[in-house]
Amino acid sequence: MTNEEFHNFYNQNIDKVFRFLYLRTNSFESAQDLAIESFFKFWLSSENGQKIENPRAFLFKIAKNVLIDFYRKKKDTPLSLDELKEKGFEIPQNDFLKELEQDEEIKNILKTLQEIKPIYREVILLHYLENLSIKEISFILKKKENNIRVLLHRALEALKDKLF
Amino acid sequence: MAEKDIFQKINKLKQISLSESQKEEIFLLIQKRIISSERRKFAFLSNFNFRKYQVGFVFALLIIFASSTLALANNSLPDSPLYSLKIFYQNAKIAFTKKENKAQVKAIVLKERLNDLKKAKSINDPRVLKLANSLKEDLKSLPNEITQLNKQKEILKVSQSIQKTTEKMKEISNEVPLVLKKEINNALEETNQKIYSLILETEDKINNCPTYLLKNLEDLRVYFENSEYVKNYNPKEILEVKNTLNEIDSLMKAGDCLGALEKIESLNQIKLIHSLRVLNESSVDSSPSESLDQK
Repeated sequence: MTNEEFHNFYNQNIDKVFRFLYLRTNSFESAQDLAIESFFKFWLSSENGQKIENPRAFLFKIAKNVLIDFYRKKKDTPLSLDELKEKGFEIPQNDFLKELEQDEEIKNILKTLQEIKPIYREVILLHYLENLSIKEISFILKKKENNIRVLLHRALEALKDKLF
Repeated sequence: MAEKDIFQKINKLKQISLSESQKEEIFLLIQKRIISSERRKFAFLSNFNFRKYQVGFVFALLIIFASSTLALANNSLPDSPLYSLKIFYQNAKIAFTKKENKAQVKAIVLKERLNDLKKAKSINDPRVLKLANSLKEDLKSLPNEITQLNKQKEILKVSQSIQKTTEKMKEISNEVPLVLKKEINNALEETNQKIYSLILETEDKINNCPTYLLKNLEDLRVYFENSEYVKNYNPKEILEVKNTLNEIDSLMKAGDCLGALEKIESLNQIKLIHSLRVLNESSVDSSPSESLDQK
């Protein structure tokens, strides 16, 4: 992968990866660090000549593993923004965070997503937010495509129950 | 509320995105990370923990140094300072050789040294003169080395092999500078003569076991071929005796006189036992019989 190709790939995916990481860490700084780590690892793999069939799915898989490592080191579970505030954590005040806090609808959907099973949240965000295909999600989560379809269906039902 | 509304709500999360400047900043950080990793790839030597592998590293260096020096020394000539290393290596080779091959290996080493002497450029170099002297001494000690061997057959074999080597050395010595040639040729001649006489002596020993042994063997043959004397022997015993007689013959031809003597003695024992048995039987029967011992 040339530098230009890598730059294009980065521009196409940085928002998605950052969002993926932010929604699972609730921290702008951590999401930024983990995004850097994910893209760096992706670049290393491509430099080492690893065969990458679906670069986007591969990047998300790396991001997922980076996130697992992050929590393994931190030995803590992700908390919602409110929970973090309650625990006295100082939340980085980025412009978009301020906007998010002001948007009640976003706050609600985030809160609801926290209430459903983590695997349901995972498939919903990957499929409906990041527009990843069933095949890509099955690669990232190491599950069969049929299982992903079932999970998606159940996740939607769970979300409906919580929202309405 | 329909699924469509849910999707719309989820899509609201797309607002979580980075500004262009933030994206550029992150990309710069990724590039920085890539560059530092590449630097690390090439700077592995500076991070190498030499102290941890110190012993192994020094040992490997020593092996490399020793093997390269030895290779250089192997091609050196007597007037070179490295030649003493070659001599040391050759002496070690002789010292670690088995006793039965020592003389042969020494002869080959001496041949090599003579060859080096032939190629030496400065004949008056004290190192060259020293080598010539030691070569003479070593040549003279060769026959003694051979006599250290235990078996006559081995002495003969080694002597013959060394004789061949010294013959080749004679050819080489003709090309040695004149100053050294005479003395080396004399030493070679002396050694050759000693080895030749050793060969003759050993062959004589092998082929001529003491005459009394030959006579003994002949007597035993006559005795055991006489049907009158062996009538009391069972067929198995007769076969055994015949085999032993053949073995004695072979041992004597091979120069193993001691082995032959042992076998002759065992046959004499058998003979004695049978004679006594016959005597005993004859006294019981009270019939006159001729004592085998009288024979």
